[in-house]
Amino acid sequence: MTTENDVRQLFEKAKQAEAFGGVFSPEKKGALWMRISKDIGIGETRIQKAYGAKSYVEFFLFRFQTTALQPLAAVASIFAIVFGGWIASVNASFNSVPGDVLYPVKLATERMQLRFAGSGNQRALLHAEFAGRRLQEASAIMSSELDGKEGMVKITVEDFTDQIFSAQAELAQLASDKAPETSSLAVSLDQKTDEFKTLLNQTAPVASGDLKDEVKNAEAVIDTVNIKIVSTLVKMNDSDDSDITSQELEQTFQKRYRDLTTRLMTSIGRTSVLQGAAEKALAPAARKELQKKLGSIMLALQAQNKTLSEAMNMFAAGGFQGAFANLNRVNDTVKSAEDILVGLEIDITTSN
Amino acid sequence: MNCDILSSASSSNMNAKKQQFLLFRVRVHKDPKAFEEIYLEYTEGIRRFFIRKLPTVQDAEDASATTFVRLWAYLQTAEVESLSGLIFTIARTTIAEFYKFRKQTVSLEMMEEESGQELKSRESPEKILFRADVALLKRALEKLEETDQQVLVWRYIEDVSVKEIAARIFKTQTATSMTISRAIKKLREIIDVERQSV
Repeated sequence: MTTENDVRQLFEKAKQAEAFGGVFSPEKKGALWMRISKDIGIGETRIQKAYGAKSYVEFFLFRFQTTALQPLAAVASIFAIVFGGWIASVNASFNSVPGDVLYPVKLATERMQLRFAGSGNQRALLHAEFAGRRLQEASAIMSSELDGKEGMVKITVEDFTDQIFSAQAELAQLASDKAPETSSLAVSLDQKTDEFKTLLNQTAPVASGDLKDEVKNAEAVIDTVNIKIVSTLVKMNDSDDSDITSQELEQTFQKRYRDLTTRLMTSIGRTSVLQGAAEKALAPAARKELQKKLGSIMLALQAQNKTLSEAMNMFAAGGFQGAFANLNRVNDTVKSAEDILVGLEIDITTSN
Repeated sequence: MNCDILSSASSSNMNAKKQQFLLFRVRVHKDPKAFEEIYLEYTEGIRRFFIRKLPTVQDAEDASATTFVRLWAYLQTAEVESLSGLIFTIARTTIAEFYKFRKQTVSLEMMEEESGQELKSRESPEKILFRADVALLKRALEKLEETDQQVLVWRYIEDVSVKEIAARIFKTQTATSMTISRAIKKLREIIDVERQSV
């Protein structure tokens, strides 16, 4: 019975046998090499010299090029193709609105930007930017003839609300951390909220039915956030009397003061006009009820003049918090009056 | 050899980095010195391979030369992953061509072999036993399949590592180990039968 060991011994013997190649002496190897080198035309190379450092450096550079740079180039190419296409899609999606094929691309891009934002300040500004986009989208949808536009506007306004609250939350966090960029961010966000209000004022006339409620919701959100932003500005000014917050507070106060004064005067004028119209248009019982209502509104509005004056005095004395609190109270009253006046104007107009 | 930085401790299994360096030198610089190092690394195995497959030593040496000339030409044109795999692929092609185009000639070695009976009768008993064992192994190997023959010769005659054999036959190391193990079992059985028939 042949064992594996027997076979191995046979192979050991066979190593020397010519039938298995035998011994290939150096002379024979050299002779065969001479023949081969002659056939391929490279001449004799029997005298060997060591390769120099230059040869190895060249080799390693070549290897680096093929093993590292080429894959890197391939990856870069893939990125160029993928993100090149992505950028084209993003550009194309820029003007899309809910319901468009490319709208998800727009939202995905925004999410990606937020993810890559390096600081709370950047995130807050991005949220504010995206809030503005939602308002523009809502405006575009309202002006369109799209089916189901009410639903789309609702979703867009909800997203606007999320974005603007997120911006304000980032600001609050920065303020809490006493981050140096808080003041400048608050200023930027305050300006943004003004832009949003302007856009909403332009949008309101084209809004109809349920869409008017959405516009109102958006306005309410802007007011709420604006109050918080101004509050942050005031606190920043109290803790750090920097030029930027003082100037911004003054500008913000003056702007709001002028805006409220104008709205107050306009509301008083509208109330007066309605009082005159009620005399002629309505039946005696309804007229009496209306006059009573308009009288209350007029009184409430006129009282706001005093509150506005107090706000101005407080501000001049450096009591910023009290001054803005007064402005907020005036704003609430004027807004309520505006809402009631709109309803009464419609009632009187349609009763004729 | 003077490939100091990249040289390997083992001469039978060329260090992969050294091999890549030599291939780079051949491809980029058409460096004869690098090609000679490749030649020295593989020539013995190639010659053995041809000696077992071809009628005479002269045929084996001719085929070896042809293989290295073809290898030189190929290395100028393409990057090579497995040098040993490439060399033995060229070698197998060379054998196929040999049998396709060979002329029926009678070489000096064949004449010596034919007239060798008389010489053998004057050899020592040890020499006769040696010849008998080698002839037995050769006959037994020839009854195995081509791949089994080859892996056993590489493993037990040329002491090639399992890893290197795996590269030559384009298999995994595990599959190559199993091939070797099965081949040696078959060889033992064949040798038993041969011995009983004598």
